[in-house]
Amino acid sequence: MVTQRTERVGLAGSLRAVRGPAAGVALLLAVSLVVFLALDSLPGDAASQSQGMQATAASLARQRSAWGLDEPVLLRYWSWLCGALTGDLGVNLANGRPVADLLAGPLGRTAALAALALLGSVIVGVGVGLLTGLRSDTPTDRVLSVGALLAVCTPEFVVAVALVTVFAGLLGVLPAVSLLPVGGSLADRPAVLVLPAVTLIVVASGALARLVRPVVRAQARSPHVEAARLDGLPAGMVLRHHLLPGVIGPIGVLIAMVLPYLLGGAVVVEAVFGYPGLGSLLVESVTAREPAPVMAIGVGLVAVTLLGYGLAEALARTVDPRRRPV
Amino acid sequence: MPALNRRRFLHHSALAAGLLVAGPTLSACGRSAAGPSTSGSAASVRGVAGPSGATVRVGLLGSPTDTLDMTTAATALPFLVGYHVFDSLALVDGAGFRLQLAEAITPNTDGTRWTITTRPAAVFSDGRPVTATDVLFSLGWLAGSPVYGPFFADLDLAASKVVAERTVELALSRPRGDLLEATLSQVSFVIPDGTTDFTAPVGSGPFVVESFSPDTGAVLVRNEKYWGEPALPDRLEIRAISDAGARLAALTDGQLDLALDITGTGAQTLQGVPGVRVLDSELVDSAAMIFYLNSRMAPFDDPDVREAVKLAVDRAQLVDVVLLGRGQIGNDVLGAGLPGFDDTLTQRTQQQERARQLLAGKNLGEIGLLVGELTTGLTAASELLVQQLAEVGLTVTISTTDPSTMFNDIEALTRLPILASYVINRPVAVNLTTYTGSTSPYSFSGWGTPEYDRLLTTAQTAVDPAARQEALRQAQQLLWAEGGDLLWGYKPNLNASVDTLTGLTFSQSVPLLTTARYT
Repeated sequence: MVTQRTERVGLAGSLRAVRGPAAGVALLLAVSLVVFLALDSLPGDAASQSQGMQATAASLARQRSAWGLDEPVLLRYWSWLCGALTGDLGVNLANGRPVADLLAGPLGRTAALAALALLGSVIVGVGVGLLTGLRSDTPTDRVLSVGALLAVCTPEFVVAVALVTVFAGLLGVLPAVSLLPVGGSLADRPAVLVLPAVTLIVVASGALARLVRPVVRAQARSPHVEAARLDGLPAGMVLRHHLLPGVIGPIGVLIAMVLPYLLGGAVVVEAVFGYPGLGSLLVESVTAREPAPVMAIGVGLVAVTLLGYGLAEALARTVDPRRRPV
Repeated sequence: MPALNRRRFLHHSALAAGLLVAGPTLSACGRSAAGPSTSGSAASVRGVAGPSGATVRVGLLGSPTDTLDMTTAATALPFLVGYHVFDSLALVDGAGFRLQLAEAITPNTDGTRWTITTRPAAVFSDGRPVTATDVLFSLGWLAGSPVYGPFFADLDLAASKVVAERTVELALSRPRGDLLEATLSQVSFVIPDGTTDFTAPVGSGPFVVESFSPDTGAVLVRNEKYWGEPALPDRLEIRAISDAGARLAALTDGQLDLALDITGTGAQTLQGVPGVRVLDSELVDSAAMIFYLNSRMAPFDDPDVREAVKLAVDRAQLVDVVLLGRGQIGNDVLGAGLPGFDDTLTQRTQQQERARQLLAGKNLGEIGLLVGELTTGLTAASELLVQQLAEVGLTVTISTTDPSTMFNDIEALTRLPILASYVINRPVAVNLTTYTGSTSPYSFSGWGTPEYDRLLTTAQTAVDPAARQEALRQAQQLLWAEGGDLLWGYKPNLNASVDTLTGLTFSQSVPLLTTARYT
């Protein structure tokens, strides 16, 4: 219980720190600088990666100068920032494709995958969390908790292969590789979303269930819920009026915290299924040391995460009067 | 919560690394265990031979950032599209160098001016005739790119000119007799004059781009205006799938007819799977696996030590163990199976006793070896080399490096006595002059003699083809006898297809599908 409280206080503190758009923007700026410096600190750059084994010292020097990679890193960051603030996300150096073009398709597809996975994880993860929390230390709890633990411990990769074996191989009802129809879009073949989404749901809902359970369990044992129950109120009413209001805020925060995982986990899952999303673009761009797409995706992911936390905090304030600003 | 995030982070980074190795194997296992429920059936439904009806669906390495501009192509997908949509002036395949879009490519007496005439019937898919202006523009486009620029280093564009509607005269800054073999057969795509937009580029090749997006791939349809033999397939669907295991899964899943560049372990999982097969490996589509013995430094500045090491290795064992038996042993000279290769060279075999004699009395100490897994097998080969050389009393210690960035610091690659690397197998006319000789920036052995360099120069500059070939032949003999390249094997690119697909040929590791058909 003490740990639980400390964690929540710490969490609330960190949430307060990012509260407000100004703080969020400041954090985003700081993160963007860190990402830029991190990419820059990796060995190799866009010039050496694009030339590969063809590189000579002279050809590298020419390319670096042509792409401005020989300028100081802070200057390059500054020009990226000025561009980004005016809506210019830059270009992929190796072939001059605008980053906005590169992102258009993959962004939508990853968003569709993450949204589906989020919906599924919330239904399964929160459902199992509530059930195990309310019925803690019963056989139901034990079975489901072990299941959740297994789900968390199994790499996405293994989950994906198992699902492919069953649904694409044995049953033959779903594609093993998530190829979009040539010249078509996700809408033409939504079935390609199913296995990647289920893979993410299995792992994320396992994590969510394990996080939701102690919150519900603590709340179920709190004095006012205990008192309501002793007053003889029907179980449904106790749940709706006394238990849920206390846990919905923390659960909202937990859901918001799963969101970055869903986007990050998509990187792995997209690779296994050959799903053309943001993940594969990010991996390619980091490998190619292309600053513009890495920055756009990296900073975008952080922005979504902050937005998630902000929403969670707003939700927590709405449902819990003690958190409302005085 | 922070613990969860950290765990996730480690989890992902480990997975990302693990995927590269285990991914293909595991996902392929998943499929083969299940059996190919639909494979083959798609092909037999469409299995119409002849120039109508057939669609070939190909999966290969691509990137979400791909474009169809050949000068910035970094993955396999743009090349496959390019070889089918653009005509090249000349091409090379296992059979030799051949003219393609060019009707004639001829030098003047000293090789400083070359005349290229294109075929009269050649038109771009939009109906415009292919002219000398287009050829000159295209060569400038290629020469101006960082990747292909080195091929055209001797081309003086400003002094080159259009001399007739279909004839262009190229001026060179020094005599070159090997323009066809070393340059034009390597890269000479022709695009319409003034092309800047490559979203749906126009060419004069056997196919036309119907649609392209890096996300969903390219659709090519037969070019009805093509000057040559019409392509057999109606349609090529070319899909970017970056993971080799996913390519294989898509093949056994019935979503592809041809999966390019699968792994050796992936190929093994296909054994016994009905409806699909691993294509026969060909030297023309392979990588030469090389240990560069750095002759700039001890102990390999001593020719006896170079020869001893070349005799101490068991090439057959390397091919069996590292390449899983899929491959051929090498004989220390690049270009086997391709035009110009000297087949009369004696195949070096393991002679441990002779190696020990050569090493007798030399106190060599530890020899450092640098390896990055640029292609699968280099690390395993290095480990096996350590064992094989230990048998003749040599101690080799391995340093590993990150393959994705090792060419960022080229000098670092020559600081140790041995470097494990590979080179795409190309004809000797290209590879010897590019990768060997004392002035080549890519010669990691650093070996060269004035005589050898002179032979390479003759191979480049002599206008008489017989003189060039003789120079190359002598150069190969010298390189074989004294050089620092220990080329132990050729690793084929492994491709798999539905077993009804036939008629593929390869040029520079790109499969040509114009004669592909289903049986």
